[in-house]
Amino acid sequence: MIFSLHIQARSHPAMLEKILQTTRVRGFAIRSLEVKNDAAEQLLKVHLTVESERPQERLVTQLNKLGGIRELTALHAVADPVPLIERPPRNVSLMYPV
Amino acid sequence: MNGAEYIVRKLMSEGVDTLFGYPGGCIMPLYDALLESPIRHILCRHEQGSAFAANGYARSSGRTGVCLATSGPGATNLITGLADAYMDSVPMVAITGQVPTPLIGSDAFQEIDVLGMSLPVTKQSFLVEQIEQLPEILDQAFHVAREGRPGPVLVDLPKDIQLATLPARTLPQPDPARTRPQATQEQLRQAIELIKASCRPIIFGGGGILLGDAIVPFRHFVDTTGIPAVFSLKGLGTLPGDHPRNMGMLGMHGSVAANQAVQEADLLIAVGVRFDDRVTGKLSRFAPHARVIHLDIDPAEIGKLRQASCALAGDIRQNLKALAIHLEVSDWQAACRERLARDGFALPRQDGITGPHLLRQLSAMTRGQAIISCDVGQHQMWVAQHYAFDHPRKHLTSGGLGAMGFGLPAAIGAQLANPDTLVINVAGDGSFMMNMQELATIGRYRLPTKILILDNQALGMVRQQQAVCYQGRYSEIDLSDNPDFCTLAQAFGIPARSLTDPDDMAYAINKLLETPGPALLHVAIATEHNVWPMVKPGEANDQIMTGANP
Repeated sequence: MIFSLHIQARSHPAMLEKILQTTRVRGFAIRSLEVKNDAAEQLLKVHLTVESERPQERLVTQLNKLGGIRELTALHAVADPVPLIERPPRNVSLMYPV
Repeated sequence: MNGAEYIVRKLMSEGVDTLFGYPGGCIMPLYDALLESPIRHILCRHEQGSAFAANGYARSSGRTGVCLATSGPGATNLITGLADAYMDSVPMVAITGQVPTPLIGSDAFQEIDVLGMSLPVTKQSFLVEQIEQLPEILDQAFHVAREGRPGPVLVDLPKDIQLATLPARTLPQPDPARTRPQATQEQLRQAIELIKASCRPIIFGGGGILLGDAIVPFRHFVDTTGIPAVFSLKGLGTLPGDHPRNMGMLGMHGSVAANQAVQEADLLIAVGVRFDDRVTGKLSRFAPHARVIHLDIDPAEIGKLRQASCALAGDIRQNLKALAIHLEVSDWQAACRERLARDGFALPRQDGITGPHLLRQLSAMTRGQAIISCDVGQHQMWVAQHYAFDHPRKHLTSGGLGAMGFGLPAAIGAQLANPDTLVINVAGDGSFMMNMQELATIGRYRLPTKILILDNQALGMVRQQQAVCYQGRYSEIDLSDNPDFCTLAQAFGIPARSLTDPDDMAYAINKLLETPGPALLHVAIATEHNVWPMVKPGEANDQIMTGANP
């Protein structure tokens, strides 16, 4: 599944890194990223399109609790017609012996 | 006033009375300012020790733990302690020195991007780039560490910012207050309907109950509904050990009784838990017949691993009060009691001293009222199984991260936060060696902390998993060349003795507890002893091994 997020976040050091790190570690691959820094409002405006077999809600709730997030909108969810990069299917099982 | 002096003033205004840290080049202005302050600074002997000590201070007191370190290696040494606080939701503020702002990005001496490194293990990390930002960032740091689901915050402070003069009128500009979710009346009504309709309900309690300051409403909820309760590692003590509804710990090393009750339940009321894999075993087969009511302050935890039939996000206290109804579940209560009597944690029938015997004896002799700071491994599980805690704040354990070396420095922090309380570090020989330098801290401040080392001359939990899961192919678990722990303790001025005869167990524990000031008891146990029961990693909880069929 591919879906997009529109995020407004406070513009301070590492805010963008934190958004991207959370996206990666929660199991969502980034397909596109657009960022604008609104200096007047001290806001980062991020448009993020991600891909995952995990539910969208799982990323939205994690991003939503980050410090500095002002607004987060999940724009739409669509089935993935053509992957950008061909790759073997990922094992997305949450349980594995460790 | 310069930045460093402002920080000291801010710490005092936050009620911080104790700091844990280690000085170095880029944090020197702050250490200079501390000289004029009444705040007590505890010099640990490694920054990881400082972070764990602040962690133990916070866990045992409910207050925010604060640690300091310099840039570069000082900052990187804090990371494991921050990760532990992040995984277990412990309120902490770490302040690190940084190279002066003009040098950031130049690969200066002791420069490291700790802001970037800390992002995955903190609730929020800040770099102070201008002196004007300092008041606001410090306000936010303490607020974020405590609010909602607590956690660690890092503030990286370049040296020139510490030395810069604060403008006279610098007013903080706080972030707008965040709205917290709260369960609706309709959701609460649905939850009550599920509870009323249930024949075999079970409560699954975790660390979120303590963090949500919900011990009293939780106990009221259990007493009113009469529903039996099982607990995660961090939930232990939420009900007293002898409470008639307390079925103890579930999960990988939980009792057969607790795990079976969950597997048979038709309703699971999950309170302040995150369905950790050490609890659930194979997730798809966890509580297979149960509908789930999930109460948590963090909406991201609800539905993360197990879908809830009824999600009650928000303040646990209020929601538990709303759900406290009288139920008729006497048949189920009786079945659980009978199961607990038959399949609860039992003492092993083995010769010599065993961890379970020792810890049950310690529990009896301290009446479950000591603060126990564990390390990680077999002894940690024996504590969880056999020490009957009367409150979860007395059980300090690295639950989520499982960080060996946690116990000794965390005990130091707990002792400083609770000077009149008996604090005991229960350690394994492997874990103890990871932060044993903190014996010097105990010696320096003459803390009356007791240390109990269960020495099996091996990495026991790794050995056990190699025995059970790797056909006894033991790889790098031998610690038979351990030092003489008594001599080691004595070198730091700490009296120590060894226990080798099981008949001397009560006497030796008594001597440990009665010794004024710090003391260490070294206990030799057999390498071959394992922790039972056990669910193999990745298997279902109904495939639990009891030790009779390893």
